[in-house]
Amino acid sequence: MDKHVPAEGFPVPALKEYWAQYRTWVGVILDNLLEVQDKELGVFPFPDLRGVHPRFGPHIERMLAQNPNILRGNWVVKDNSRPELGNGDGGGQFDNGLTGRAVVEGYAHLKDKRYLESARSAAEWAIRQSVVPNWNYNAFSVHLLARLYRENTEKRYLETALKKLRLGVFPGQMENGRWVDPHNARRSYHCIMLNAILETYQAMPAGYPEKDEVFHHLYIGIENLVTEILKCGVSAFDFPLTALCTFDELAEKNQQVMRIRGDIRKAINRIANLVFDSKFIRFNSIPYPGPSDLEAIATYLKWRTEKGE
Amino acid sequence: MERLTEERRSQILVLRTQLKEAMIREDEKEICEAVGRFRMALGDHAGFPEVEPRFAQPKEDKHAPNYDEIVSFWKKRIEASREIFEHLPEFSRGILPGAKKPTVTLRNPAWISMSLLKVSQFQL
Repeated sequence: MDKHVPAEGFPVPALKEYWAQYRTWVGVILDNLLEVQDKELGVFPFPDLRGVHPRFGPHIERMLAQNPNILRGNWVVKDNSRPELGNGDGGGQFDNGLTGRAVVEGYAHLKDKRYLESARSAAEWAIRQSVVPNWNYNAFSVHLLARLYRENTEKRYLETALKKLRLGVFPGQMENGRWVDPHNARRSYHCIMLNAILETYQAMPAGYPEKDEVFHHLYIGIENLVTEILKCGVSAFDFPLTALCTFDELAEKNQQVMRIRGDIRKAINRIANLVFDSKFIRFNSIPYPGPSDLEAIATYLKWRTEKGE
Repeated sequence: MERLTEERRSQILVLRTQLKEAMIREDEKEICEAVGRFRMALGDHAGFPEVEPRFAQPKEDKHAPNYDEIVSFWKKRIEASREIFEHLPEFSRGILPGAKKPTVTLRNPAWISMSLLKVSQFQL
């Protein structure tokens, strides 16, 4: 198996004095995430944001009007495989996929079996959900399953990730690499799909039958992104920066990536200069440091550390 | 680009429902056909974002940001979230400082956790 990222990660020596603190914080976060994971369904739920959030609040009101069973205390839980909790739009895959991936990463680094069990429960929920027309929702489940497969090589994790790609991600991608619908054509969502495809590609053993097909979808998506950044500019930075840094790392093993590496690095540099000039960061105007941009900055920092620059 | 007409929007909604039904049946061929019809209905809008992107374009290619400045930027970002880290157990359960019930999605603590893992050495 291509174990691209070693379990110990690529630490940033310049932050060494903080590692112990970070370790404590990660433990606190993961232990508390496990507390709120739905014990019966395995899903990481969504908070009841009625009256709190301008977009999610009304959306939850509409869902509850259709099916009041999905409210459990302060949380909304859905499961398309259970009629009494079903018929959702598939949006639960976003938080479940992302939070499930956080506990997989926690297991990979800290080797606490509780995190592995938690990730497996979240994965079981993801496996039970049918794909939905909003391609990026499916991608979050794909990402979780592929990442979990790299820590626990149960075949059906990879097989289900590939099935979800075939049914719920690839059909929406056009020949030029973009996703067809105006929502998923936005750069953040485009890169959510690419990051999931990247994870699956990395999880597939060398010579796996569908590896070339997966790479094709990845490549045309990245090429389209890079071309747009170089011609038109940067329209989103968090998911694109993560996708491009991770894709660039494939170049050592793949000649096709090597051929466009110059442009990939130019695109990374364009994004990075905007981010670190702090001209772009306020695009994400939330009252605490935007966690998705924090992950992008961490990915870039790790990437720069690996390159030794 | 001209906005989609109401009639076209209604047509797209119907096609999206057909796509959802094909997905429930897990029929790959049917899914691809439904996407084809969806794409036809979108016309020139296919592959274009619903909101006009706000492009930020550096006028010239600069050198990559200085490594020490990136580290410093990271530290400032963490420092800016000091309040969150002081209330980490609650925040990790979706509760912001001062709130009584969850108002934050779990993706947020998840992202922070993965970010901290990316820059740290854990197997000491």
